[in-house]
Amino acid sequence: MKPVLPPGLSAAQLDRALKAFAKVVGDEWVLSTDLDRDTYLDHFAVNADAHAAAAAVAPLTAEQVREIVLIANEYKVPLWPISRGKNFGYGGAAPRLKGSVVLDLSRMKKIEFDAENGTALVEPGVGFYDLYDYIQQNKLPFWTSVPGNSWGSVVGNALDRGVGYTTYGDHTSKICGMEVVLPTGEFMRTGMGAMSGAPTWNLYRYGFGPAWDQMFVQSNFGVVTKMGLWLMPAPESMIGLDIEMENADDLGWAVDLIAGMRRDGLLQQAPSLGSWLRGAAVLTTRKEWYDKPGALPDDVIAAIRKKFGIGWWSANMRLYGYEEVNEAAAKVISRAFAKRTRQPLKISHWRAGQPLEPNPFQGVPVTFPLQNAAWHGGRGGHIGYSPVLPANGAAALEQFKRTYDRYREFGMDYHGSFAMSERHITNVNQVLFNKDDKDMMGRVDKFFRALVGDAKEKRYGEYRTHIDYMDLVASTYDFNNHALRRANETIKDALDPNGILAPGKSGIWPRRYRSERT
Amino acid sequence: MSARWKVLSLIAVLALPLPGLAADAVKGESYFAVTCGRCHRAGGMGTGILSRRPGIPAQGLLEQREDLTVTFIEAVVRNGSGNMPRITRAEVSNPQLAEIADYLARGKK
Repeated sequence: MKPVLPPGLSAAQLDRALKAFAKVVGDEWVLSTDLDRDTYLDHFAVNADAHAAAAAVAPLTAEQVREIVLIANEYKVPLWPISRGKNFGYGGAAPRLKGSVVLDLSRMKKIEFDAENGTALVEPGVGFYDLYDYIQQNKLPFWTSVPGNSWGSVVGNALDRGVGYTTYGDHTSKICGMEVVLPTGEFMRTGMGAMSGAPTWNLYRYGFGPAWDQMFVQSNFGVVTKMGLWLMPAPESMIGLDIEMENADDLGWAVDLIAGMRRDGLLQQAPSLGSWLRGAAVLTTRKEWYDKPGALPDDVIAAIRKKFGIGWWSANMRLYGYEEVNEAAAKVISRAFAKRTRQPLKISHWRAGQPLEPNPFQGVPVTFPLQNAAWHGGRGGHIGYSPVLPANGAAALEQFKRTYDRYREFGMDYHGSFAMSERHITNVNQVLFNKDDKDMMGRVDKFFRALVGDAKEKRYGEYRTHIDYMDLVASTYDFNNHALRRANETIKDALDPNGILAPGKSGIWPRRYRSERT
Repeated sequence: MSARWKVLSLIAVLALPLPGLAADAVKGESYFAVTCGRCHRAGGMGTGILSRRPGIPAQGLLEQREDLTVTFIEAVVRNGSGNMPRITRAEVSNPQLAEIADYLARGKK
């Protein structure tokens, strides 16, 4: 047994805490062998050992969560809650603070569905496949919204502001009411749930007074044990409008055009403009194209695009709802694109009654997009660099060029996309790497820090980041001498006086561990 | 449908999640379908990656392979392999893993 301990905790204290956890959940669900501990390492990390857990405890009920939190306070054991632990590219199941005990909620899989209102009340262990299967088995007239890799938790994804592809794709915005165990072991319900037995818990977000759902998103202020979510009514029709854009510079006008359609409501789903590697890395490996180090040269990029018939950028727009409305919107969109490009829009139709296709545009969960982790061969991995930009073509193009140059400078293959919201772009860039390539792995950290530095200079902040970089990203939110961080930590200390819940999450450190900030 | 999604859908055409399992499905197959099949049946991430790797039989489909042993499957599930992350006991318990391994290895230790 190789003990892994958090700062300030002895092996004997940890052992006593684990024994107390076992009394709550049973011996089987305290996972504390060397092998158990290794199963919580971040498989895609640059340095997995830096975030090793001491052990894990896996409750089945919210009441057990509450009891575990009380014990953690008694023994001063830091807990790292995970829903299903599939947050790949951002840390997986691993804790920010080495030696934390993972509070693994993956066994909590209850679903309550309100078919009249189209809401689901789900526990953190419910995966996208679980919810999809539930809807299909019960023939409910709703669609899920799923991320590109749908292996993970519905709750966990919404809590990390993950996205999907339908009009309900901004998952965190579809949260309506939560049940939370506060760090001192008290149950709280948000919104209308604060009134016992309120039938509107999952229907009206705000309740009375301050509304706290977002307080528990990307934070360490509580353990979410139930989440209300709104589901999209199954549409009568879906129309797809896809375009392949020939030149890298087409990004500028395309962003401006789509941004206008998002703002005026013509397009209600967030199309993502993705570069050629997005598809190529899923379907092929790098050595099929090129066997030298350094970023792929232009002729290889051209060969890849030719093979798959894809542009430098691809944009996929989708309309959902009534067929006549969709047809009318498709006409307006087609006309607007025709004014800007000769490249035709490829238009596809789906109507209710036809089978669903295995793709996230129809809310059908898939896992194959994560095949891109194998792009380099070897033990693949990736981290995400995702600054938020204004929804403006010139800004997007400038950011793309800056980022592209950085990828080439560090000899990495560019993998970028621009997800279009009403007033902002989430610019998700994947850094794909090969853990068996020592030279490449030696470049990743410097590369990532350079990217964050570039964004900071333009005053762009990341929307989400890997556990390695939470302090770095939090430090870029610097208004008034980091007033937000100071406020977050004031709240943290008030709600979690023993600092037991997810120390360091999103750069928020409790007083007890504040010296651990990097 | 865009070229990209069209190409991707070709490989994923059989990847629709299971609407339900046959009542008489053996335990190992049931567990495999729910906990492994999302990646390791046709169209899944694991199948896609394995099918591109030289020397992997059955186009990467684990259920069609003859070379798997219980020991190997249990080791891969808990230790990870290549791009496959480790699977915890909370997600797949030891008894469930034993059923899955037995189903895939057909008794080969």
